[in-house]
Amino acid sequence: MTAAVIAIENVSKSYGDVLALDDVTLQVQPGEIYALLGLNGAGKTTLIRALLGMVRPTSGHVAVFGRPLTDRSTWSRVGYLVESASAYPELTVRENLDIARRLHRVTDKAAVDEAIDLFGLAAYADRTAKHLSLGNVQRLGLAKALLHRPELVLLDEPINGLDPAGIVEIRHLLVDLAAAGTTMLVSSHLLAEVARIATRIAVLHQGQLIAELGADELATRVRPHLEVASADLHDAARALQQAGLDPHTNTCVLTLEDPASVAHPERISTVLVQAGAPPTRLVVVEEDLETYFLRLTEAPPRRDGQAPVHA
Amino acid sequence: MRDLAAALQTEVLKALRSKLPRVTVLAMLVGGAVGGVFIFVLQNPDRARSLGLLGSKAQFANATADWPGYFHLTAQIIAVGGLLVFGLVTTWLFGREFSDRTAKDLLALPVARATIVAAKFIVALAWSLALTAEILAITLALGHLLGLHGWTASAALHGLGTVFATSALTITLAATYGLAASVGRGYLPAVAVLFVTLLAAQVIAALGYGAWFPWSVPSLLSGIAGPQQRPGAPGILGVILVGLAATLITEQWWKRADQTQ
Repeated sequence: MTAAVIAIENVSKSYGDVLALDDVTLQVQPGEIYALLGLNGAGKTTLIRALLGMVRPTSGHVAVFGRPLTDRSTWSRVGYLVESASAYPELTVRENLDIARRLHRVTDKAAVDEAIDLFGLAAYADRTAKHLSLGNVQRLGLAKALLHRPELVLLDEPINGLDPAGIVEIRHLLVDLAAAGTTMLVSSHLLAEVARIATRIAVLHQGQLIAELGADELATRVRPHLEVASADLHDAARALQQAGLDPHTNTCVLTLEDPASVAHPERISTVLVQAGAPPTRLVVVEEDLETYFLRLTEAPPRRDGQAPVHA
Repeated sequence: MRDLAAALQTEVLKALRSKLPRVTVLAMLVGGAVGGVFIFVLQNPDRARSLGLLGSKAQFANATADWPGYFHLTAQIIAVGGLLVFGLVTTWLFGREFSDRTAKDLLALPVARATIVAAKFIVALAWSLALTAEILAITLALGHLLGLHGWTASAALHGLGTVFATSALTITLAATYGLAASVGRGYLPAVAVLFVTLLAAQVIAALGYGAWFPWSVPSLLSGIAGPQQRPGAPGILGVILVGLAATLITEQWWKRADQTQ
C-alpha cells in the first residue's frame, strides 16, 4: 500500500473551552484531490493550520509525507493558501512572487515568470498588490502556493473572489495538477465546485469528521426523492396519507422519500388517480451534494466514540 | 547561511518599499536639527534670552556649546527620540506581518521561522545603526558649521563612544517591541508598550531609580540627569538581559505559539 501523503490520527484541538477539532482521523493518498467540507467554524481552517504546524494539536498525531511536522525539509514539498490570500501591499506582484521564490529555496528565477503566466497575472506583474482586485490577489496567493511546484497543496477556499472564468480556470488547473501527481487537500463551502474535482470528500462538523466518501460513492450515498405535483395538493396529500405514506408539502409539490415510492412512482400515480387528484408531474430527483451536506450536518454529531460514517 | 541571506533579502526589500525608511530618516533629521538649534542658542545667549523657553530647555539638557556638550546632547536625543524611532522600526518589522495578514505565509517554509525572526532583528539593528550614523553625521556637520570649540581626540572619542553606547543600549531595548508586536499580533499593542516604557523611563529616572530600570538606563548613560546619575554595570547588564530575553522569547514565540491569524 502506498504511504499516505497526509496522515492525521485522533487529532483534537482545544482553545480554552472551545473544542475546534474533536478526535479527527483521516488520510490523504498520493494524487488525491481531497475535499474538506464544513460550515463556518466547523474546524476546516484549524485542521489545515494543524497540518501546516501553525497550531499544535492538543492531542493526536499529524504526519506529512510520513514525517512529523518538526521535519522542516517537508515544507519545500508543500504549498498552501490558508484563509484569504494576502500579499505585501507595497510590493509588486513580481516582487511578492520573488519573495516566495527565495523563501522556498527556488534558485531558478524563471519560476516567477512561469507563475505569472500560469495564473494570468502578466498584465499586473509590475502593479503593487494594494492595487489588485480581490480576484487577482487570490490568483497571486495561488501563484505563491504553487510557484515551487509542490507535491502537496493545501488550499483553503481557493476560488474565493474569483469570477466565473477564473473559477473554471482554477478548476482546470487543479485537475491538471492532480493528473500530474500533485496531491491536494481543498477546503471549500462551494459544494458543487468541490463535487466536480474532488476524488474524495470529507464533511467536518463541530470539529468532528462526520462523513468521508469517494466522489464516485456520492451517488450511492445521496437520497433520491419523488416529487409529486397535482392540481389539488391538499387532496393529493390526504390521499397519500390514507395510503399509509408520509408526504412532505413544499411550496408547490409534495415529496416522498421512502424507497418504495421512489422505486415505483407508477403506484403513487395509481393512488392519486383513484383518489381523484391525478398527478400533473411525477419526477425522481437526486439529492445534490448541498442537500446531502445539510442533511448530514443537521444530524447531531456522533459522540459515542465510534468511527465516523464512511462509505 | 543561504536561508538567512534569503530571509535578509526579503526583509530588506519589504523595508525599502515601505514609507518607514523615509519617515525615520526624516525623524532623525529633525532630531539632529533640533540638537543643532539648541547648541546655536547656547552659543548665542542674547538669542537664548529672546527665545526664553527654548533657552531654558537647553539648560535642562545639561548641554554646553562645545563638542563634548553637543555629543552628549545627541546621545540624549538618541536615548529618548531614538527609543521611539528604533522601537517603531522593530514594531513595524514584526507587526506588519499581522496587519497585512502575511505572517501565515512565513510559517511553513523550508526557511526556519527562527531564521526569519533573526533576519528581522538584523534588519532592525542595521536600520537603527544607520539612523544613528545619520544623526551623528548631522551632529558633526552642524558642529563644524557652528565652529564649536573643544574638539580633541579624547573628547571626540569619548563623545562618539557615548553616542554609540547609548544607541547600542537603545537598540537592544527595541527588541522588546518586536516581542510585543508578535505576541500582540499587530502594531497597536507594541506601540502601547513603547509609550508606556518611554513614559515610565522618564518618571522612574526623575524619581532617582533610573539606574535600575532598563528603559531609563540609555538616558542616564547619555548624561540627561547629570553625572551623579550615571548607570552602573548592573543597570547596563539589565538592558542586555532584557534585550536578549526579548529576542529569545520572540524567536520561541514564532516557533511554538499557535498561529491563528
